Amino acid sequence: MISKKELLIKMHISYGQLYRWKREGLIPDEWFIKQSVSTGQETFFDEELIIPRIEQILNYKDKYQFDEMKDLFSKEKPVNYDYKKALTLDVIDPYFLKIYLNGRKDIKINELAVIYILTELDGTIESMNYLKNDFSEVKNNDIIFVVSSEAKSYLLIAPYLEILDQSLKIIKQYKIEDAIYKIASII
Amino acid sequence: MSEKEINFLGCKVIDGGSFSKVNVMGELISNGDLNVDELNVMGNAEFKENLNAKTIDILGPCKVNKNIKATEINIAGTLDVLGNVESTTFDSLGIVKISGDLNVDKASIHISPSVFNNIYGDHIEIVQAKHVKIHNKQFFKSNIKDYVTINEIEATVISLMNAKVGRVSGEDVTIYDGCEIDTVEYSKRLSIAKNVKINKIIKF
Repeated sequence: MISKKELLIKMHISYGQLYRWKREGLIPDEWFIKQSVSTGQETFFDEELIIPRIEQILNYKDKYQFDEMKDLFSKEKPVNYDYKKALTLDVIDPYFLKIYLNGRKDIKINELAVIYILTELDGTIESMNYLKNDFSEVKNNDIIFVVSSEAKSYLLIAPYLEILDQSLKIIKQYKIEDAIYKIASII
Repeated sequence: MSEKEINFLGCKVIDGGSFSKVNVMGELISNGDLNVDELNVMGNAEFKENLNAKTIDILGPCKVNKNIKATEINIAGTLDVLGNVESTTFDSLGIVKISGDLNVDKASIHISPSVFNNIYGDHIEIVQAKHVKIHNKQFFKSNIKDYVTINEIEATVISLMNAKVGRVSGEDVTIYDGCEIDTVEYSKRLSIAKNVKINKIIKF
């Protein structure tokens, strides 16, 4: 992982450039991973994704408009992690991973984050019951809430829970971005 | 974008849509995404979904429940956004509350009791006396002893006055009178006036 400040220094770019490229869709929102640090919140990136992307942008910026670059990048295969690599992560239950993948050979990091959280939660909830769901659309800023009602626990995935039925109680919550940071640091 | 130009007088509820120009002179509620070249809010408007526009001029109260994407935003009224705002320019003489992130090339924010979560961009300034030009008319506001409250600002060039900020991080940072800042980080240049409170300064 590389912090935002380290990235600016390493690639000799400014905040203005970085945020303009984010606004123009050249750097996906989900690549910005926020983490709590002693001084507040800091943003990190997966170095293997962000460095090549910025190098591409710097190479292309005099040849293509932003829209053209965005089109070029959208045609690239999304970066997924090979399932064999994912199986080596000791924070993820390999059995859960196999069931979730159901024959697929790769997985996105946000899906891995959910499987990691389900591994952590197994026992509190019946994690197996959730493995048939598709977690590929889960966003970095989503939170997994474990809510209980009448001695049973359930899973909710949302960016926030503004209104909750009074009969439900939140007993645990996990931020997807924290899980992504954990996995990206060890994968 | 659609060729349609539409004026809303009185009270109207729409499902969103695409228009070339929308003038809100009464009260408008849009329940769906609105895509427009030019939006003028002179009355009262609430957008329950996303708002996408080239130019947005706000003179009255305006609320957006999701996100705004624009090229130019000028505010002399009030704007309350629950999501994120992205624009090339953002010029505010009014009162603004943005719960998500403001991502801009250039923001010029007049001193007011405005509240921002995070502001990211190239040039960010909080200024004392400013005019905003809307429909070829200039709106001036006199000095107000208010504070703009911001959680975090990250930009290439930052100039602040009467601002309460958690963290400021930039290449070229100027802090004028009336500021209270928890942490200032700068990489190239830092200039600080006498009557400011800063807890921590870090050169990176």
